[in-house]
Amino acid sequence: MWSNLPSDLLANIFSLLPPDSLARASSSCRHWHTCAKAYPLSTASNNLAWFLAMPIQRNHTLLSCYLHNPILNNWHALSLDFLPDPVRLVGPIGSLVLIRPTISTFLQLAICNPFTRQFRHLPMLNITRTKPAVGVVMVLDSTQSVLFPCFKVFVAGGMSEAEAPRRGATYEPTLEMYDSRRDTWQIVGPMPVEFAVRLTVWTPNESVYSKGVLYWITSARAYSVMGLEIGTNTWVELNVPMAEKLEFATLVRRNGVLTLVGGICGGEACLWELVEGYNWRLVEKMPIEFGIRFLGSKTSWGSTKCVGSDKAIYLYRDLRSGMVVWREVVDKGKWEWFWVEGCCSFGGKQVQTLPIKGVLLQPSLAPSWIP
Amino acid sequence: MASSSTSVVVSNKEKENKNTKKVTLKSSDGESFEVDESVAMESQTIKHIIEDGHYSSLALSLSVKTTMASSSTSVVVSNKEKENKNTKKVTLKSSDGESFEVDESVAMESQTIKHIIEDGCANNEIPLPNVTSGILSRVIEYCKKHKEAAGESEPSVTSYTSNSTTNPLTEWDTEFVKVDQNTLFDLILAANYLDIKGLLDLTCKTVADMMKGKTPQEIRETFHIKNDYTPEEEAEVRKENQWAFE
Repeated sequence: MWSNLPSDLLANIFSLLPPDSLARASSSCRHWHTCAKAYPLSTASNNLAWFLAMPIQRNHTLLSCYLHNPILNNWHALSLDFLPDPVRLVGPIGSLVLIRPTISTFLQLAICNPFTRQFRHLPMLNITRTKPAVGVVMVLDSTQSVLFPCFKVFVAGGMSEAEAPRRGATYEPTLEMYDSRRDTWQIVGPMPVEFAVRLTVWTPNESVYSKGVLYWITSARAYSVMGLEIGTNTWVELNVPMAEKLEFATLVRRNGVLTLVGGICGGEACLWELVEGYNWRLVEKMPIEFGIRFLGSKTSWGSTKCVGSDKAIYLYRDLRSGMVVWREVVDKGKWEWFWVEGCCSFGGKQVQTLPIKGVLLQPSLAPSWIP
Repeated sequence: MASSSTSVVVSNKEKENKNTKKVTLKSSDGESFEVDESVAMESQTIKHIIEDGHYSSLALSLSVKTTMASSSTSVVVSNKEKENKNTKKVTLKSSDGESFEVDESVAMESQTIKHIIEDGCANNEIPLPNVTSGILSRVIEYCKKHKEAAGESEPSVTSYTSNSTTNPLTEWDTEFVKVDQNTLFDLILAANYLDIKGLLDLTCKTVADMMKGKTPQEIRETFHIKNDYTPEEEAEVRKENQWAFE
């Protein structure tokens, strides 16, 4: 009976399942297996994003990454043996991950889906450069976003190779853009040199796209935010509240709004929202008990990292330490704080204290069309 | 309508309508409600007033505060009034030949039926060759309940995905889907064919919930699915999503 359910209805049911349940359901018979792979309905509205922790290891091919299931609050290990080269995580693109092979100092980018084990290099940039800022903009097309991901990648700044032996490397004041629909890079135009310098020197973190502007934050004090207005190719710079006192600062997007998460020296972790006129408004403070538990024996927020999706913000350090999560609880329509235990052991074996880079991903078990 | 602390004034208006004898109920703040006498007599209090004949030209004032059964008198009138007004009906015919007469507004919870009616193809009966009478009667029950609920509050209440803690239909929906698998299966197909989003969402979610947290073998047992993999093939498939099995 159930094996005769029309595929589109079965796919409708599958789209309501979290990825671990879907993975098991799809293994039950051929028809269900085919359906799970062929009809990847956009699950963004039904399912929560999962936290994926990529260990940061220099020049070694990563063996596994670790996934946290927000519903059952447990960890999974996902093999990364399908990656041909050692990589570093750049950022999420819906259900894909943007990565950077580390074998080359010049920027090359690739995308992968750790669930379907798909991997593909993006074409080479027009201008070779090292350590530029990379930003991702999802092109909102909800019906196709899983099967045919539509996105743009912006690369700004970086250092270009020396043209002559004496000249030495220079900052590359140009902006390039990759469009997934055309699978090509094009040079968008020039950019102010001071922004190119800042973006290169301070090794910016994951970009945040909000309301037509792509933002990056500098990686150290005194923090400031740089923004690229996509439509007009103009740059802005914003001050950051308590810029001198923050021990860590990250940008995330919360319900479409640019949000700054920061830890005050000797104080709490706070969240500010960008409001009209490029002003910041304090919206939340991490409850003290979570802060104490998170910091443990450490006295500063210095090693804190943070990622966000529109509906959740995760603060983390390394793989074994716990995480503090601020997430929207759908049934209650409000945001609450949670503690998440770190990943300490796996399959009976102790997990090393690895430094990690985290990303929030919409898991998809269906292969995307990656040309 | 009349609030619980008003007094009720009853007067007779026989002259207007020969067929349906009506009475007018007047609330303390001066608003008049003309209703069928039969409807008004749902209230025992009003029934006695009418039967005793104490109402002609003299307005008899009932202080609702002084009677115990005050709050129940006003509600009945409104429901029946709604029913008597504008009830255009359609007949739906199941695959096994049974006919169901329903309010047009209820039937239009189905987008499929709505289009048939709007296209003017309804005539007397709308045949539904894909739906048996057993399933059709359940579907109608669902549509009636959700239409009623929509009528009493904002339209968004009928959306299945609305906040479950405040949605009064959630409990009713939960009971509604407590059926055997065959019925559930048929309800999904019917909701899809008739294009009733709320019912489709409800039934699909029920099935999804039955799948959550189960191993493939447990899923096969629950849904009576034959494992058509060889042991080698099954190992391959599990390997694809190895992480979910650890």
